[in-house]
Amino acid sequence: MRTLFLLALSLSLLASAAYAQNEQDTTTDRPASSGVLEETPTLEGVIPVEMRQDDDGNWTLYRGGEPYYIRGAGGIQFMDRAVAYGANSVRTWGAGEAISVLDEAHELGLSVVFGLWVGMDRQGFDYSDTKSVESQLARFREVVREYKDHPAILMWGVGNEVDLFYEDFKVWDAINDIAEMIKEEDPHHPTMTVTAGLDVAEIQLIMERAPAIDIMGINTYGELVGGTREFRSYGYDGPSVGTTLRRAGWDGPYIIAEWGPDGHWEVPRTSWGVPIEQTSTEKARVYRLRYERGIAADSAYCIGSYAFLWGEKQETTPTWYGIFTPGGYETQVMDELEYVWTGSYPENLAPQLDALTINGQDAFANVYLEPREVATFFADVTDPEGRPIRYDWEMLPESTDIRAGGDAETRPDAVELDIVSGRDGEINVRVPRREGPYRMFIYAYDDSGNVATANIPFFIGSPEQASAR
Amino acid sequence: MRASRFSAAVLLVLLAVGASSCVRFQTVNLYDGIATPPPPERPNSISLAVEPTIYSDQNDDQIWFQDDTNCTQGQLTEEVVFEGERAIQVSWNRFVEGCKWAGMGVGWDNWAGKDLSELLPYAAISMRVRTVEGKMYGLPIVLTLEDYGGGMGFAYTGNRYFERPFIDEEWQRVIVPLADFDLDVENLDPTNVKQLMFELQQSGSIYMDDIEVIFYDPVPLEPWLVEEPRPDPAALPITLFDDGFINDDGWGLVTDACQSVQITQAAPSMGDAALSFEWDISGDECYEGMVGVSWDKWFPVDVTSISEVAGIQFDVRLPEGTATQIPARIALEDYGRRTSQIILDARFLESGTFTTEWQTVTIPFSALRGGGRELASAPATVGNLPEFSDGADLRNIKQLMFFLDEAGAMFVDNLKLIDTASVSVGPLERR
Repeated sequence: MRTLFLLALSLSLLASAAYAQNEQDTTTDRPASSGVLEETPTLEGVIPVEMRQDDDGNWTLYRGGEPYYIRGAGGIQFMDRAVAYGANSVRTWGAGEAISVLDEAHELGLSVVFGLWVGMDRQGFDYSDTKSVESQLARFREVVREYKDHPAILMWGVGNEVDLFYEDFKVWDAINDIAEMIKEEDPHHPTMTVTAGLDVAEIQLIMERAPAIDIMGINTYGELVGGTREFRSYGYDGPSVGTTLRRAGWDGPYIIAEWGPDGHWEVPRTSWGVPIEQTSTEKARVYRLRYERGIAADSAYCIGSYAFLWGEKQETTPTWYGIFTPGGYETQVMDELEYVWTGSYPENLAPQLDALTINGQDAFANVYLEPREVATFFADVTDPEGRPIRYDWEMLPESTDIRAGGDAETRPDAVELDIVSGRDGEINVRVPRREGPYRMFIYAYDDSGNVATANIPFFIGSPEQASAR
Repeated sequence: MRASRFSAAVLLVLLAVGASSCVRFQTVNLYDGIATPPPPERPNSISLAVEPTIYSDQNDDQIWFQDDTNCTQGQLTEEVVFEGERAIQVSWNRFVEGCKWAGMGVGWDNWAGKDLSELLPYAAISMRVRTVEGKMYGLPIVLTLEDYGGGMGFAYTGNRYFERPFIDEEWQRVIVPLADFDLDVENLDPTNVKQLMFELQQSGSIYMDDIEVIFYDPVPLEPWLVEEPRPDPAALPITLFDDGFINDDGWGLVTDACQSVQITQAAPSMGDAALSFEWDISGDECYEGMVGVSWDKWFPVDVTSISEVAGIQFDVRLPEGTATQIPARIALEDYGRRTSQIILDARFLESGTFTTEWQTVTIPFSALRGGGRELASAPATVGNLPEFSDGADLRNIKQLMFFLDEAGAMFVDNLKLIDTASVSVGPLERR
């Protein structure tokens, strides 16, 4: 109960050395960008940002008077690598987080979406309470006044997923007041609000109640690419984000403010009800496809995107959204991001994982094991350069700390592995005695800081025991 | 609530004993057995019930601060006071590594067990607060009453309890009603309260003074924004489109690769305008055409009270030719994106054929089906909305929608929700 009172600002900062930017707009069909500063920035003070619409209705973001297409990293860890791999911007969700990275981001040549964490129903904020709403506005005014002239700021992100499980539409009126305040205090940066997925109702409500919002931000995962029949096999069969936005009446610019693998709420589940995670190789494929067909393809209205999560975190599993794993290892997703951002793959590609099985069965087979049964876990991993691979296996009980909207979750403690035989990509393990849902994770490392990851859920006990839970 | 559960439990035990011993009970009114006890009488004075002063000037072991000064630094100060000789100065930072808790407490009345039970509806904890420096836009403190059995009750010091919207360097009064404490989660025994604790969250630095129990009469919350009253969204009939959409809350009026839906002044069935639909979703980039309208400014609508009698009615005509079915589905969609829908079939017309003449379609809500797109197109003999579990949640309706399939064209006008009892003969009988 008490945790409901906490507003989350929780991502940590890792500072590191600068990389030179290698900008090569050569092969992908993404919109051309001039957004990356190639040398140490010399601009001081505010860098004005504005949107312009040409005679054909196409929107372009201008920063410092130059067109600026956002190749964004959603997160503030490993910012040096974001620059090295072709990103030109990072997104923050809350003011504390933004303030902590402005200087470093600017030194690296990255712009920053300055997030203002707007209070939400589901976290206990009451938009019926005048004092709470006025206090929130006053706090943001102080922040905007203090930081508006920082050259790293690209725009203000006013609220993130305030529509998730909400009931009180007045939050949009509050967001409008914040956006209007920003326009009073800072005429040089636009405002964006970000919704959880895309729903016509929210777009209409924002247009009606928050007209001071300049840019629509959408966090979307499996629903990013729709429309084509090929993509229906990925589980979503609705129109694309751009199509839906325009049908809903939004003719302004938009940003895909978070995108990534299939979300844990939109994938198939095991018979005991836990979501099945894509492997790092499957994720890499969908990142590439979603960028090219869901983001770059709508160059008229989509002014850029932020890949989620530029870092690592526990959310359903420790690997679901992180482009990195603990320790800063990079998954195959990074190879595809570097490709779509720069047009070139890195010299050393991450290992690929083509299968992970228990006793020859994959994650969709609903694997039940007896307590203390010896099971064979097999991971089919290859390194594109044929380099040696180091395998780490880890068994976790299924997480019970499941929250919503990216709120902080606790990682379950690992189970001590009782390896009976085998090594590397195939091991025979005596599973725990305690009945319940588990996942076996594989981390397959090359010798260059890359990793392939996957996990397979299994249940110790019978289907009857699983259904009784 | 707990009293009610207790009473119910006692009743069950008595019934069980009675059944096992063959005693015949007289019939009693169940309601009388579980009635909530009346609130306690308001005492004439706080001090008759409990020592009202929690902190004033005392400088003794009634007040304590967390030992770990990395997390909490507290002291009594004579330099900044609201009244009297001393105030409390406390600073904390939960962001310091290892700070799982920060806080302080006051075991007022010399740590006696205090009975707050009869004060709960009538009293509040009042305290004077200011910052050490600058502003605090919230007061991240959980007030915690702890009893001698380890039970606790909680209340967060939200801004609503402040005198002003935020805490600054001027003293202000913060009043937290005892009625707002959550007593159930950790089972506070309000008859035996040991102390008032301050669980300090995030970070802050404040002075506090004159903490006391006071009488409190609830005051209505000052609303930040008053929503304009809206018409009853279940009061039929409701016009959704005549010359424009209700509240301007229609969408889908675009021309894109898949659909072209426009408001047209060309030959409406009534008034000045109608809707013109053209669509072709055979292109690979298309999925389905969509048009929708909310009739309650996007608030969720509960239509359960009218679902038996309500219907969707509109005028329709083709631009050319005739048809017995138009590849468009009419749907109610809920906020979980589930739909109840039906294909636009000529059985909902009196004539049984769509033509280039305006005709009126009437689709009772009860003709809508769950089960997705395929079942919407199934023969009329297949069931309807109440028999499909995966249709729209009628308590939580978002909008009325047209889904456009394949390719087609039509004009629509005079779209409304009606009471089907007002439809005399014809279309409903054709179902």
